[in-house]
Amino acid sequence: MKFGNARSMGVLVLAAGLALAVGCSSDDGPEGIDAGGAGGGGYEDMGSGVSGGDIAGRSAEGTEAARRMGLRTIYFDYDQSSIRSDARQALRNNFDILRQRGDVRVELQGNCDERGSSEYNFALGERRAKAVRDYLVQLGLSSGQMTSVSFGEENPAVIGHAESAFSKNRRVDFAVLP
Amino acid sequence: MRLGGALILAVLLLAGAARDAAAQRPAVIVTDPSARAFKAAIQRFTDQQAVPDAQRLTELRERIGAALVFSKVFAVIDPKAFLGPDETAGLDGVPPPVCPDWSQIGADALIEGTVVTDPRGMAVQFHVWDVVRCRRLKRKRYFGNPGDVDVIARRIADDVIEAFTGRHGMSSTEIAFVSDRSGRKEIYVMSSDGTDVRGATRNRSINAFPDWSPKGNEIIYTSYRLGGQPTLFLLTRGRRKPGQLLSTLDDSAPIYRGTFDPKGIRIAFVMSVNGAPELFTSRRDGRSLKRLTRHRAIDISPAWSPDGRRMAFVSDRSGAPQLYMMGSDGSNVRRLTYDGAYNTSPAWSPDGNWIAYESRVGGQFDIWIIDPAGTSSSPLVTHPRSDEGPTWSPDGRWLAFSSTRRGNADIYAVGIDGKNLRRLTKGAGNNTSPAWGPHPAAR
Repeated sequence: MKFGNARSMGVLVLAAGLALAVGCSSDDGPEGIDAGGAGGGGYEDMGSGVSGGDIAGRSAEGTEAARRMGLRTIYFDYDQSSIRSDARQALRNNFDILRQRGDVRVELQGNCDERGSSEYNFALGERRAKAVRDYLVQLGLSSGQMTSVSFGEENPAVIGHAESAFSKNRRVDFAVLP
Repeated sequence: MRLGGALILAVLLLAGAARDAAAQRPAVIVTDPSARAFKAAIQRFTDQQAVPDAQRLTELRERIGAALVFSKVFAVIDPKAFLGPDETAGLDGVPPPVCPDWSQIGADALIEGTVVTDPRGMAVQFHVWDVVRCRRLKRKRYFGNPGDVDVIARRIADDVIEAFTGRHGMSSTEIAFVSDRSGRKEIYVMSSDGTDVRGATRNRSINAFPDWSPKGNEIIYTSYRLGGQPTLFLLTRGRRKPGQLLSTLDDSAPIYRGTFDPKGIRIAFVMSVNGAPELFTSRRDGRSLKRLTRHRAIDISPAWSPDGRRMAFVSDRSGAPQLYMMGSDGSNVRRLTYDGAYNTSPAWSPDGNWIAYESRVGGQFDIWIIDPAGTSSSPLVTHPRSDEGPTWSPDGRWLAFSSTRRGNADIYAVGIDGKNLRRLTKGAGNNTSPAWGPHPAAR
């Protein structure tokens, strides 16, 4: 209960950094808590040539090349990371292709539909990628030929809020590494 | 005791209720029996310039009033009802206010002040009076640029609330969040009333999970900006180079979420080991690394208790994600939630008495709260569309969360009594992952 006789004056200087710093942009890396106004300006651009289909620094070319090679996407059930029986044939197909192309390294990209906690979905996507990797290793593929990453629910293949979209987003994509 | 210090929380215990009875549970579970809005009379501050800036003085009064009203702690009395003077005569060396003039019109608080402008900037000095007991509660001055009227008004309103309740208001606080309004998921910061939205990252990658440092000078976040695995970065006030954290750790392991301990020294984070996310703590550069969980399951969402001794987290070791509690050194793990099949996103209240979280009910999410001993849990936000990612205001009076009730995800705030729901982000893309920053007085 604060009924003190506030004799001492609280003098506070609002640091210049508190005010919205619109206007003059500095040259050295301008991302920050007050860095941008509504109009933006002075931001550091991390990616070069980022265009539609690119995700997290990966060009769409990686998944395109995988498709051209005949590598197939692996789909999963809701909340599951286990390999479905109908996915085993696709994995066999991918194994055959990659075994003959030892020069090709692929990134296994785990994905989820938008339901559920986004943080849990990063982990679930990772689990899915790992399930695919383990299956291929079991078939005889060298683990050195594969890396994996999870995009959680952040990289849907199909935008939509119904099962027809969800089922296409619960997947592991293959992407050929440059 | 009308102006009691401690907020008395009356919790309706609903132990043992079945999950399908959740719809019948009252959404209001925490009430303050003494709660009613105080009433504030705000004088027009005096400007001691030869030619006062009338517009600025009007704006100052309006903004203080708006911030007080928004907080729901105060109502504001229309100046037309004033018996006492509309404008502050002066502060020091001037007779004090005639308290009955103010208490008679129903005021609890009188705010009087002066503005002095000189080449260095603007100084706003103000007093807060309890006109019922006729005592001056607060005397304070803020310096700023002449354009900082709104910033200063919010600080004043928060101070008025602090004078009467012992806890600052939240008008001068900010909320960080993730938005895809630019086409990519970037971190944004806005004022706690939804105004003044500004971008904080613009790297065109995937950015997620903003979390404030205890002093509010930094935001830790997860980003895929390096093009490989996700890891943690730091945003600071003003424009700086993006700082990568955990520099001594191997960058081949994904790191999903970081959060500062209450002292701002150690970070708890989620790092995958052999494909299984585990919880770790370390110093900012990754040194003094301590592993907290060793389980094949998914262990994520570390949430430090306000005293730093315990950590709530999420694990699916039982088969589906549930809330767990352990010491912040990883000891004494015990499960917290048993109600509901999927519980995630724990967030401690600032007083340490509650943990808010999201619970899946019939395929969508509701916001629930539970006490840290796990003895009682109750729903707080139960809209049939998803409500996720709760975060507490630093005064513990509000929860912000993300909801898809209107289609796209927007950030909302609601009082902890379940009332005064308001939308903060207004229809620009999908807005998720809110993180409510500390009060500027913490800096």
